[in-house]
Amino acid sequence: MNFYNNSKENTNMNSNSVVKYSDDLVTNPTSRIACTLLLDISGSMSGDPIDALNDGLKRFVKDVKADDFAAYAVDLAIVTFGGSVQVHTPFQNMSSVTVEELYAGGGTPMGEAVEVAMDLLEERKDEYKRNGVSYYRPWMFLMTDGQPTDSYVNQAQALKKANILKQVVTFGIGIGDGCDFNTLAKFCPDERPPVKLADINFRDFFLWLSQSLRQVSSSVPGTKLALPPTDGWTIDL
Amino acid sequence: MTKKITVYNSQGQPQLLGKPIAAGGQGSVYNMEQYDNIAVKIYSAHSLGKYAAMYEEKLGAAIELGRLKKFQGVSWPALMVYNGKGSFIGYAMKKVEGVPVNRLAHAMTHKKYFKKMNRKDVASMLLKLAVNLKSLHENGVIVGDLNLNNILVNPADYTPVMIDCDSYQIDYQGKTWHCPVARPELTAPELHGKDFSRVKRSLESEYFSFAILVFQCLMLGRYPYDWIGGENPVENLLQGSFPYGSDSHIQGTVPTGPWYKIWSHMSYKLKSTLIQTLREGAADPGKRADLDEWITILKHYIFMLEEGHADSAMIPAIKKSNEWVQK
Repeated sequence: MNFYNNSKENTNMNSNSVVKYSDDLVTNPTSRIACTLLLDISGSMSGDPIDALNDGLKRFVKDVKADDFAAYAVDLAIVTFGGSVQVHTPFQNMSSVTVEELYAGGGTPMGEAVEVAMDLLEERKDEYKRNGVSYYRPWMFLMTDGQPTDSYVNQAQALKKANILKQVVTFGIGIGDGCDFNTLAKFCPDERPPVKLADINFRDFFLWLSQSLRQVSSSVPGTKLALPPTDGWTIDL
Repeated sequence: MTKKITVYNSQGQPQLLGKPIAAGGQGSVYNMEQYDNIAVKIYSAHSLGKYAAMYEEKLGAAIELGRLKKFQGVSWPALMVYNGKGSFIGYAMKKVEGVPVNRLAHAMTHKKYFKKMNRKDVASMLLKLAVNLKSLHENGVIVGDLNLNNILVNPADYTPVMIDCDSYQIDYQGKTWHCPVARPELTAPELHGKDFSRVKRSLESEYFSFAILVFQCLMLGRYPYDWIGGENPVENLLQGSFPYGSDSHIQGTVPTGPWYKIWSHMSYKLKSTLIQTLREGAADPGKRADLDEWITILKHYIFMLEEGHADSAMIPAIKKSNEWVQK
Protein backbone atom coordinates (compact mmCIF):
# COMPACT_ATOMS: atom_id res chain seq x y z
CA MET A 1 0.00 0.00 0.00
CA ASN A 2 1.42 3.35 -0.95
CA PHE A 3 0.74 5.72 1.89
CA TYR A 4 2.51 8.51 0.11
CA ASN A 5 -0.25 8.76 -2.49
CA ASN A 6 -2.97 8.44 0.07
CA SER A 7 -1.84 11.51 1.95
CA LYS A 8 -4.13 14.49 2.01
CA GLU A 9 -3.15 17.18 -0.38
CA ASN A 10 -3.41 20.40 1.55
CA THR A 11 -2.07 23.51 -0.05
CA ASN A 12 0.18 25.76 1.94
CA MET A 13 -1.77 28.99 2.10
CA ASN A 14 1.32 30.92 3.06
CA SER A 15 3.58 30.15 0.15
CA ASN A 16 3.33 30.00 -3.58
CA SER A 17 4.28 26.36 -3.77
CA VAL A 18 1.90 23.48 -3.27
CA VAL A 19 3.08 21.29 -0.41
CA LYS A 20 1.78 17.87 0.54
CA TYR A 21 1.97 18.06 4.26
CA SER A 22 2.78 14.47 4.95
CA ASP A 23 5.82 14.72 2.64
CA ASP A 24 7.79 16.23 5.46
CA LEU A 25 6.87 13.23 7.65
CA VAL A 26 8.50 10.97 5.06
CA THR A 27 11.74 12.89 4.81
CA ASN A 28 11.94 14.17 8.40
CA PRO A 29 11.07 11.44 10.93
CA THR A 30 11.83 13.57 14.01
CA SER A 31 9.36 12.94 16.89
CA ARG A 32 6.72 15.65 16.63
CA ILE A 33 5.06 18.09 19.00
CA ALA A 34 1.80 19.17 17.38
CA CYS A 35 0.97 22.65 18.63
CA THR A 36 -2.39 24.24 17.79
CA LEU A 37 -3.08 27.91 18.40
CA LEU A 38 -6.79 28.71 18.60
CA LEU A 39 -6.90 32.48 18.38
CA ASP A 40 -9.81 34.81 19.03
CA ILE A 41 -9.64 37.59 16.43
CA SER A 42 -13.18 38.89 16.97
CA GLY A 43 -13.98 42.61 16.70
CA SER A 44 -13.08 43.28 20.33
CA MET A 45 -9.47 42.32 19.58
CA SER A 46 -9.12 45.32 17.22
CA GLY A 47 -6.38 47.86 17.79
CA ASP A 48 -3.53 47.23 20.22
CA PRO A 49 -4.49 43.62 21.10
CA ILE A 50 -4.38 42.33 17.51
CA ASP A 51 -1.16 44.25 16.85
CA ALA A 52 0.43 42.70 19.93
CA LEU A 53 -0.83 39.25 18.89
CA ASN A 54 0.64 39.63 15.38
CA ASP A 55 3.93 40.84 16.77
CA GLY A 56 4.14 38.01 19.34
CA LEU A 57 3.25 35.36 16.77
CA LYS A 58 5.97 36.49 14.36
CA ARG A 59 8.59 36.50 17.11
CA PHE A 60 7.45 33.05 18.23
CA VAL A 61 7.89 31.51 14.79
CA LYS A 62 11.29 33.21 14.38
CA ASP A 63 12.41 32.06 17.82
CA VAL A 64 11.49 28.39 17.32
CA LYS A 65 13.04 28.40 13.84
CA ALA A 66 16.29 29.70 15.35
CA ASP A 67 16.69 26.35 17.12
CA ASP A 68 16.98 23.91 14.22
CA PHE A 69 16.34 20.86 16.38
CA ALA A 70 13.07 22.33 17.72
CA ALA A 71 12.11 23.71 14.30
CA TYR A 72 12.11 20.19 12.82
CA ALA A 73 10.19 18.77 15.80
CA VAL A 74 7.38 21.31 16.19
CA ASP A 75 4.34 21.14 13.91
CA LEU A 76 2.14 24.23 14.04
CA ALA A 77 -1.51 24.83 13.15
CA ILE A 78 -3.37 28.11 13.65
CA VAL A 79 -7.16 28.28 13.73
CA THR A 80 -8.72 31.73 14.07
CA PHE A 81 -12.22 32.67 15.10
CA GLY A 82 -13.49 36.18 14.35
CA GLY A 83 -16.80 36.28 12.50
CA SER A 84 -16.03 32.93 10.90
CA VAL A 85 -13.66 30.09 11.67
CA GLN A 86 -10.55 29.96 9.46
CA VAL A 87 -7.74 27.46 9.24
CA HIS A 88 -5.14 30.21 9.01
CA THR A 89 -2.23 27.72 9.01
CA PRO A 90 -2.91 24.00 8.48
CA PHE A 91 -0.55 21.64 10.32
CA GLN A 92 2.95 21.91 8.99
CA ASN A 93 6.46 21.60 10.26
CA MET A 94 7.69 24.82 11.86
CA SER A 95 10.70 24.89 9.54
CA SER A 96 8.37 25.83 6.68
CA VAL A 97 5.90 28.11 8.51
CA THR A 98 5.46 31.72 7.46
CA VAL A 99 2.84 33.66 9.38
CA GLU A 100 0.46 35.99 7.64
CA GLU A 101 -1.05 39.02 9.36
CA LEU A 102 -4.23 38.49 11.42
CA TYR A 103 -7.10 41.00 11.19
CA ALA A 104 -9.78 41.41 13.86
CA GLY A 105 -13.54 41.52 13.21
CA GLY A 106 -16.86 39.78 13.84
CA GLY A 107 -18.22 37.52 16.58
CA THR A 108 -16.61 34.72 18.60
CA PRO A 109 -17.54 31.27 17.20
CA MET A 110 -15.30 29.46 19.68
CA GLY A 111 -17.26 26.18 19.74
CA GLU A 112 -16.91 25.68 16.00
CA ALA A 113 -13.23 26.66 16.14
CA VAL A 114 -12.53 23.98 18.75
CA GLU A 115 -14.29 21.38 16.61
CA VAL A 116 -12.23 22.35 13.54
CA ALA A 117 -9.00 22.29 15.57
CA MET A 118 -9.77 18.86 17.04
CA ASP A 119 -10.48 17.49 13.54
CA LEU A 120 -7.23 18.94 12.24
CA LEU A 121 -5.34 17.35 15.11
CA GLU A 122 -6.91 13.93 14.53
CA GLU A 123 -5.93 14.12 10.85
CA ARG A 124 -2.37 15.05 11.77
CA LYS A 125 -2.13 12.20 14.27
CA ASP A 126 -3.34 9.80 11.58
CA GLU A 127 -0.59 11.11 9.31
CA TYR A 128 1.97 10.47 12.06
CA LYS A 129 0.73 6.90 12.42
CA ARG A 130 0.65 6.31 8.65
CA ASN A 131 4.26 7.46 8.40
CA GLY A 132 5.57 5.73 11.52
CA VAL A 133 6.47 9.06 13.16
CA SER A 134 6.21 9.16 16.95
CA TYR A 135 4.72 12.17 18.68
CA TYR A 136 4.50 13.90 22.03
CA ARG A 137 1.14 14.65 23.58
CA PRO A 138 -0.18 17.53 21.41
CA TRP A 139 -0.62 21.02 22.84
CA MET A 140 -3.63 23.21 22.17
CA PHE A 141 -3.78 26.88 23.21
CA LEU A 142 -7.21 28.50 23.37
CA MET A 143 -6.89 32.29 23.60
CA THR A 144 -9.91 34.56 23.88
CA ASP A 145 -10.91 38.00 25.17
CA GLY A 146 -14.62 37.26 25.44
CA GLN A 147 -17.07 34.39 25.40
CA PRO A 148 -18.39 32.11 22.66
CA THR A 149 -21.14 33.53 20.47
CA ASP A 150 -22.05 30.09 19.11
CA SER A 151 -23.14 26.86 20.79
CA TYR A 152 -20.08 25.44 22.45
CA VAL A 153 -21.17 23.00 25.17
CA ASN A 154 -20.54 19.78 23.21
CA GLN A 155 -17.20 21.00 21.87
CA ALA A 156 -16.08 22.11 25.34
CA GLN A 157 -16.98 18.70 26.76
CA ALA A 158 -15.19 16.91 23.91
CA LEU A 159 -12.01 18.93 24.46
CA LYS A 160 -12.12 18.41 28.20
CA LYS A 161 -12.58 14.68 27.68
CA ALA A 162 -9.63 14.55 25.23
CA ASN A 163 -7.53 16.05 28.03
CA ILE A 164 -8.68 13.42 30.50
CA LEU A 165 -7.84 10.70 27.96
CA LYS A 166 -4.38 12.29 27.59
CA GLN A 167 -4.95 12.84 23.87
CA VAL A 168 -4.14 16.54 24.11
CA VAL A 169 -3.05 19.16 26.64
CA THR A 170 -5.20 22.29 26.57
CA PHE A 171 -4.06 25.65 27.92
CA GLY A 172 -6.82 28.27 28.24
CA ILE A 173 -5.60 31.87 28.17
CA GLY A 174 -7.92 34.80 28.80
CA ILE A 175 -7.14 38.25 27.47
CA GLY A 176 -8.35 41.42 29.23
CA ASP A 177 -11.21 42.04 31.63
CA GLY A 178 -13.92 41.06 29.15
CA CYS A 179 -12.95 37.42 29.11
CA ASP A 180 -15.47 35.00 30.62
CA PHE A 181 -13.15 32.74 32.58
CA ASN A 182 -15.94 30.49 33.82
CA THR A 183 -16.86 29.57 30.26
CA LEU A 184 -13.21 29.23 29.18
CA ALA A 185 -12.66 26.84 32.10
CA LYS A 186 -15.25 24.49 30.59
CA PHE A 187 -12.81 23.77 27.73
CA CYS A 188 -9.88 23.12 30.07
CA PRO A 189 -8.98 20.20 32.33
CA ASP A 190 -9.91 20.80 35.99
CA GLU A 191 -6.29 20.54 37.10
CA ARG A 192 -5.21 23.23 34.64
CA PRO A 193 -7.73 26.09 34.80
CA PRO A 194 -7.34 29.04 32.41
CA VAL A 195 -4.82 31.77 33.17
CA LYS A 196 -5.05 35.47 32.50
CA LEU A 197 -2.60 37.14 30.17
CA ALA A 198 -0.96 40.15 31.81
CA ASP A 199 -2.17 43.19 29.83
CA ILE A 200 -1.70 42.16 26.21
CA ASN A 201 1.66 40.59 26.85
CA PHE A 202 1.58 38.17 23.91
CA ARG A 203 5.28 38.71 23.47
CA ASP A 204 6.27 37.08 26.76
CA PHE A 205 3.66 34.35 26.31
CA PHE A 206 5.10 33.38 22.94
CA LEU A 207 8.63 33.58 24.34
CA TRP A 208 7.56 31.14 27.07
CA LEU A 209 5.95 28.90 24.45
CA SER A 210 9.05 28.79 22.24
CA GLN A 211 11.26 28.02 25.26
CA SER A 212 8.88 25.29 26.36
CA LEU A 213 8.72 23.73 22.90
CA ARG A 214 12.51 23.79 22.64
CA GLN A 215 12.71 22.03 25.97
CA VAL A 216 10.17 19.39 25.00
CA SER A 217 11.78 18.75 21.60
CA SER A 218 14.98 17.58 23.25
CA SER A 219 13.15 15.39 25.77
CA VAL A 220 11.73 11.91 25.37
CA PRO A 221 8.08 11.38 24.32
CA GLY A 222 6.14 10.12 27.31
CA THR A 223 8.35 11.60 30.03
CA LYS A 224 7.36 14.35 32.45
CA LEU A 225 9.30 17.57 32.51
CA ALA A 226 8.96 20.92 34.25
CA LEU A 227 8.18 23.79 31.89
CA PRO A 228 9.55 27.30 32.47
CA PRO A 229 7.55 29.44 34.96
CA THR A 230 4.65 31.42 33.48
CA ASP A 231 4.78 34.36 35.89
CA GLY A 232 6.33 36.60 33.21
CA TRP A 233 3.11 36.76 31.23
CA THR A 234 0.27 35.74 33.58
CA ILE A 235 -1.45 37.61 36.39
CA ASP A 236 -3.50 36.16 39.21
CA LEU A 237 -7.23 35.92 38.60
CA MET B 1 26.80 42.59 33.24
CA THR B 2 26.59 39.41 35.29
CA LYS B 3 29.04 39.04 38.11
CA LYS B 4 31.81 36.51 37.46
CA ILE B 5 31.75 33.39 39.64
CA THR B 6 34.84 32.51 41.66
CA VAL B 7 35.48 28.85 42.41
CA TYR B 8 38.27 27.14 44.31
CA ASN B 9 40.34 23.99 43.96
CA SER B 10 41.03 21.62 46.84
CA GLN B 11 43.99 23.79 47.94
CA GLY B 12 41.74 26.84 48.17
CA GLN B 13 43.22 28.57 45.13
CA PRO B 14 40.63 30.80 43.39
CA GLN B 15 39.74 30.72 39.71
CA LEU B 16 37.24 32.84 37.78
CA LEU B 17 34.62 31.14 35.64
CA GLY B 18 33.88 32.54 32.18
CA LYS B 19 30.72 32.41 30.09
CA PRO B 20 28.29 29.50 30.46
CA ILE B 21 28.52 26.86 27.72
CA ALA B 22 25.39 24.87 28.51
CA ALA B 23 22.71 24.64 31.16
CA GLY B 24 20.62 21.67 32.17
CA GLY B 25 18.48 20.39 35.00
CA GLN B 26 21.44 19.28 37.11
CA GLY B 27 23.54 22.40 36.70
CA SER B 28 25.54 24.49 34.25
CA VAL B 29 28.84 24.08 32.44
CA TYR B 30 31.14 27.12 32.22
CA ASN B 31 34.27 28.18 30.43
CA MET B 32 37.22 29.19 32.59
CA GLU B 33 38.49 32.73 32.42
CA GLN B 34 42.16 31.76 32.29
CA TYR B 35 42.21 28.31 30.70
CA ASP B 36 40.78 27.76 27.22
CA ASN B 37 40.98 23.98 27.39
CA ILE B 38 39.10 23.45 30.65
CA ALA B 39 35.37 23.52 31.40
CA VAL B 40 33.73 23.47 34.84
CA LYS B 41 30.39 21.97 35.74
CA ILE B 42 28.63 23.64 38.69
CA TYR B 43 25.66 21.76 40.13
CA SER B 44 22.46 23.67 40.82
CA ALA B 45 21.57 24.42 44.44
CA HIS B 46 18.66 22.00 44.02
CA SER B 47 20.94 19.14 42.91
CA LEU B 48 23.46 19.86 45.64
CA GLY B 49 20.77 20.07 48.29
CA LYS B 50 19.72 16.52 47.50
CA TYR B 51 22.84 14.79 46.22
CA ALA B 52 25.98 16.77 47.24
CA ALA B 53 27.48 13.87 49.23
CA MET B 54 26.75 11.32 46.50
CA TYR B 55 28.25 13.53 43.73
CA GLU B 56 31.31 14.31 45.82
CA GLU B 57 31.97 10.65 46.54
CA LYS B 58 31.27 9.50 42.98
CA LEU B 59 33.43 12.22 41.41
CA GLY B 60 36.17 11.44 43.89
CA ALA B 61 36.17 7.87 42.59
CA ALA B 62 36.05 9.08 38.96
CA ILE B 63 39.04 11.36 39.50
CA GLU B 64 40.99 8.56 41.15
CA LEU B 65 40.47 6.52 37.96
CA GLY B 66 43.35 8.66 36.73
CA ARG B 67 44.13 6.91 33.46
CA LEU B 68 40.80 8.01 31.95
CA LYS B 69 41.81 11.68 32.38
CA LYS B 70 44.32 11.37 29.54
CA PHE B 71 41.92 9.41 27.37
CA GLN B 72 40.97 11.52 24.31
CA GLY B 73 37.57 9.95 23.71
CA VAL B 74 35.89 11.20 26.86
CA SER B 75 35.71 14.45 28.82
CA TRP B 76 36.54 12.80 32.13
CA PRO B 77 36.37 14.66 35.49
CA ALA B 78 39.83 15.91 36.44
CA LEU B 79 39.47 18.08 39.56
CA MET B 80 36.89 18.78 42.24
CA VAL B 81 35.62 22.37 42.52
CA TYR B 82 34.56 24.12 45.74
CA ASN B 83 32.90 27.38 46.77
CA GLY B 84 34.43 30.00 49.07
CA LYS B 85 33.27 28.10 52.13
CA GLY B 86 35.06 24.97 51.00
CA SER B 87 31.87 23.08 50.07
CA PHE B 88 31.88 20.84 47.01
CA ILE B 89 29.94 22.43 44.09
CA GLY B 90 31.20 20.73 40.91
CA TYR B 91 34.16 19.54 38.90
CA ALA B 92 36.59 20.57 36.18
CA MET B 93 37.18 18.60 32.99
CA LYS B 94 38.79 18.87 29.58
CA LYS B 95 36.75 21.18 27.35
CA VAL B 96 35.61 19.59 24.11
CA GLU B 97 34.25 21.24 21.00
CA GLY B 98 31.86 19.52 18.66
CA VAL B 99 28.31 19.04 17.48
CA PRO B 100 25.98 16.66 19.33
CA VAL B 101 25.36 13.38 17.51
CA ASN B 102 21.65 14.25 17.49
CA ARG B 103 22.48 16.74 14.68
CA LEU B 104 24.38 14.05 12.72
CA ALA B 105 21.76 11.36 13.21
CA HIS B 106 19.05 13.67 11.85
CA ALA B 107 17.49 13.62 8.41
CA MET B 108 17.55 17.42 8.13
CA THR B 109 20.19 18.96 10.39
CA HIS B 110 23.10 16.80 9.14
CA LYS B 111 23.00 18.87 5.94
CA LYS B 112 23.84 21.97 7.96
CA TYR B 113 26.46 20.65 10.41
CA PHE B 114 28.01 17.77 8.46
CA LYS B 115 27.72 19.04 4.90
CA LYS B 116 29.86 16.44 3.11
CA MET B 117 29.01 13.49 5.37
CA ASN B 118 29.06 10.06 3.77
CA ARG B 119 28.59 6.55 5.13
CA LYS B 120 32.31 6.03 5.62
CA ASP B 121 32.45 9.13 7.87
CA VAL B 122 29.57 7.80 9.95
CA ALA B 123 30.93 4.25 10.13
CA SER B 124 34.37 5.60 11.14
CA MET B 125 32.78 7.71 13.87
CA LEU B 126 30.89 4.65 15.14
CA LEU B 127 34.07 2.57 15.09
CA LYS B 128 35.89 5.19 17.21
CA LEU B 129 32.90 5.28 19.53
CA ALA B 130 32.93 1.49 19.93
CA VAL B 131 36.64 1.63 20.79
CA ASN B 132 36.00 4.46 23.31
CA LEU B 133 33.20 2.51 24.96
CA LYS B 134 35.34 -0.60 25.16
CA SER B 135 38.08 1.36 26.95
CA LEU B 136 35.53 2.68 29.44
CA HIS B 137 34.18 -0.82 30.04
CA GLU B 138 37.70 -2.13 30.62
CA ASN B 139 38.05 0.49 33.34
CA GLY B 140 34.85 -0.51 35.13
CA VAL B 141 32.76 2.29 33.64
CA ILE B 142 29.41 1.85 31.86
CA VAL B 143 27.82 4.93 30.27
CA GLY B 144 24.31 3.75 31.14
CA ASP B 145 22.48 6.69 29.60
CA LEU B 146 24.11 6.28 26.18
CA ASN B 147 22.21 8.58 23.80
CA LEU B 148 22.49 11.01 20.92
CA ASN B 149 22.90 14.05 23.18
CA ASN B 150 25.90 13.05 25.27
CA ILE B 151 28.35 12.49 22.43
CA LEU B 152 29.95 15.41 20.58
CA VAL B 153 31.43 14.94 17.12
CA ASN B 154 34.07 17.09 15.45
CA PRO B 155 32.61 17.86 11.97
CA ALA B 156 36.13 18.15 10.49
CA ASP B 157 37.30 14.61 11.23
CA TYR B 158 34.26 12.83 12.75
CA THR B 159 36.00 12.15 16.05
CA PRO B 160 33.47 11.52 18.82
CA VAL B 161 34.00 12.60 22.43
CA MET B 162 31.70 11.45 25.18
CA ILE B 163 30.47 14.03 27.68
CA ASP B 164 28.26 14.20 30.82
CA CYS B 165 30.50 11.62 32.52
CA ASP B 166 29.20 12.35 36.03
CA SER B 167 26.12 10.26 35.24
CA TYR B 168 28.08 7.16 34.14
CA GLN B 169 28.05 4.00 36.24
CA ILE B 170 31.41 3.56 37.95
CA ASP B 171 32.73 0.41 39.59
CA TYR B 172 35.74 1.26 41.73
CA GLN B 173 37.37 -0.59 44.60
CA GLY B 174 34.40 -2.86 45.18
CA LYS B 175 31.78 -0.11 45.17
CA THR B 176 29.29 0.81 42.43
CA TRP B 177 27.97 4.30 41.76
CA HIS B 178 24.92 3.93 39.57
CA CYS B 179 23.81 5.82 36.49
CA PRO B 180 20.59 7.44 37.74
CA VAL B 181 19.23 8.61 34.37
CA ALA B 182 17.89 6.95 31.24
CA ARG B 183 16.05 7.65 28.01
CA PRO B 184 13.42 4.92 27.58
CA GLU B 185 13.82 4.77 23.82
CA LEU B 186 17.48 3.73 24.20
CA THR B 187 17.16 1.58 27.29
CA ALA B 188 17.34 -2.21 27.16
CA PRO B 189 13.99 -3.91 27.97
CA GLU B 190 15.24 -5.57 31.18
CA LEU B 191 15.86 -2.13 32.74
CA HIS B 192 12.44 -0.62 32.02
CA GLY B 193 10.44 0.06 35.16
CA LYS B 194 13.52 -0.23 37.39
CA ASP B 195 14.78 2.40 39.82
CA PHE B 196 17.83 3.66 37.93
CA SER B 197 19.45 5.09 41.05
CA ARG B 198 19.70 1.54 42.44
CA VAL B 199 19.92 -0.82 39.49
CA LYS B 200 23.31 -2.04 38.29
CA ARG B 201 23.65 -1.89 34.53
CA SER B 202 25.24 -4.74 32.62
CA LEU B 203 27.51 -4.63 29.60
CA GLU B 204 24.70 -6.33 27.65
CA SER B 205 22.31 -3.45 28.38
CA GLU B 206 24.94 -1.03 27.02
CA TYR B 207 25.33 -3.21 23.89
CA PHE B 208 21.59 -2.87 23.27
CA SER B 209 21.75 0.94 23.48
CA PHE B 210 24.82 0.97 21.24
CA ALA B 211 22.98 -1.03 18.54
CA ILE B 212 20.16 1.56 18.53
CA LEU B 213 22.74 4.32 18.24
CA VAL B 214 24.45 2.52 15.32
CA PHE B 215 21.10 2.19 13.56
CA GLN B 216 20.13 5.83 14.12
CA CYS B 217 23.49 7.19 12.95
CA LEU B 218 23.49 5.10 9.76
CA MET B 219 19.78 5.80 9.14
CA LEU B 220 19.83 9.61 9.55
CA GLY B 221 18.09 9.53 12.91
CA ARG B 222 15.28 7.16 12.00
CA TYR B 223 14.38 5.26 15.15
CA PRO B 224 14.64 1.45 14.68
CA TYR B 225 11.32 0.68 16.35
CA ASP B 226 9.24 3.22 14.37
CA TRP B 227 6.83 1.45 12.10
CA ILE B 228 3.65 2.25 10.24
CA GLY B 229 0.55 2.15 12.38
CA GLY B 230 2.58 1.95 15.55
CA GLU B 231 1.70 4.41 18.26
CA ASN B 232 4.33 3.98 20.95
CA PRO B 233 7.82 3.08 19.73
CA VAL B 234 8.95 2.22 23.27
CA GLU B 235 6.31 -0.54 23.36
CA ASN B 236 7.74 -1.83 20.07
CA LEU B 237 11.21 -1.83 21.67
CA LEU B 238 9.97 -3.88 24.61
CA GLN B 239 8.51 -6.42 22.16
CA GLY B 240 11.62 -6.43 19.95
CA SER B 241 9.40 -5.41 17.01
CA PHE B 242 12.16 -4.32 14.66
CA PRO B 243 10.58 -4.07 11.20
CA TYR B 244 13.69 -4.34 8.98
CA GLY B 245 14.77 -7.62 7.40
CA SER B 246 13.27 -10.17 5.01
CA ASP B 247 10.36 -11.15 7.29
CA SER B 248 9.54 -7.57 8.20
CA HIS B 249 5.81 -8.10 7.59
CA ILE B 250 5.69 -10.14 10.79
CA GLN B 251 7.28 -7.37 12.81
CA GLY B 252 5.57 -4.30 11.37
CA THR B 253 5.97 -2.22 8.25
CA VAL B 254 9.02 -0.09 7.56
CA PRO B 255 7.99 3.58 7.33
CA THR B 256 7.50 5.15 3.92
CA GLY B 257 10.45 7.06 2.53
CA PRO B 258 14.08 6.26 1.81
CA TRP B 259 14.52 4.09 4.91
CA TYR B 260 14.37 0.60 3.43
CA LYS B 261 16.55 1.77 0.55
CA ILE B 262 19.20 3.02 2.97
CA TRP B 263 18.93 -0.20 4.97
CA SER B 264 19.32 -2.34 1.83
CA HIS B 265 22.78 -0.87 1.16
CA MET B 266 24.31 -1.84 4.49
CA SER B 267 26.59 -4.88 4.60
CA TYR B 268 24.98 -8.26 5.18
CA LYS B 269 26.82 -8.69 8.49
CA LEU B 270 25.79 -5.22 9.67
CA LYS B 271 22.15 -5.91 8.88
CA SER B 272 22.06 -9.38 10.38
CA THR B 273 23.74 -8.13 13.56
CA LEU B 274 21.25 -5.30 13.92
CA ILE B 275 18.36 -7.71 13.32
CA GLN B 276 19.67 -10.18 15.88
CA THR B 277 20.46 -7.55 18.53
CA LEU B 278 17.34 -5.44 18.14
CA ARG B 279 14.88 -8.29 17.58
CA GLU B 280 15.95 -11.44 19.47
CA GLY B 281 18.30 -9.43 21.67
CA ALA B 282 15.38 -7.44 23.10
CA ALA B 283 14.31 -10.42 25.20
CA ASP B 284 17.65 -12.26 25.33
CA PRO B 285 20.66 -10.14 26.35
CA GLY B 286 22.97 -12.98 25.30
CA LYS B 287 21.98 -12.42 21.65
CA ARG B 288 23.31 -8.86 21.58
CA ALA B 289 26.51 -8.17 19.65
CA ASP B 290 29.35 -7.08 21.96
CA LEU B 291 31.79 -4.29 21.16
CA ASP B 292 34.45 -6.62 19.72
CA GLU B 293 31.87 -7.85 17.21
CA TRP B 294 30.85 -4.28 16.37
CA ILE B 295 34.47 -3.27 15.88
CA THR B 296 35.00 -6.16 13.42
CA ILE B 297 31.73 -5.45 11.57
CA LEU B 298 32.34 -1.71 11.30
CA LYS B 299 35.93 -2.23 10.09
CA HIS B 300 34.63 -4.60 7.42
CA TYR B 301 31.91 -2.15 6.39
CA ILE B 302 34.46 0.66 6.11
CA PHE B 303 36.61 -1.62 3.95
CA MET B 304 33.61 -2.33 1.70
CA LEU B 305 32.89 1.38 1.37
CA GLU B 306 36.53 2.14 0.56
CA GLU B 307 36.66 -0.59 -2.06
CA GLY B 308 33.41 0.54 -3.65
CA HIS B 309 31.55 -2.63 -2.67
CA ALA B 310 28.90 -0.60 -0.82
CA ASP B 311 27.31 2.75 -1.69
CA SER B 312 28.75 5.53 0.45
CA ALA B 313 25.94 8.05 -0.14
CA MET B 314 23.83 8.71 2.97
CA ILE B 315 20.72 8.17 0.81
CA PRO B 316 21.67 5.92 -2.11
CA ALA B 317 19.82 6.60 -5.37
CA ILE B 318 18.14 3.22 -5.70
CA LYS B 319 17.44 0.17 -3.56
CA LYS B 320 20.15 -2.44 -3.68
CA SER B 321 19.24 -5.42 -5.85
CA ASN B 322 18.78 -8.84 -4.26
CA GLU B 323 21.96 -10.01 -5.91
CA TRP B 324 23.89 -7.31 -4.07
CA VAL B 325 22.07 -7.84 -0.80
CA GLN B 326 23.45 -11.39 -0.64
CA LYS B 327 27.07 -10.23 -0.96
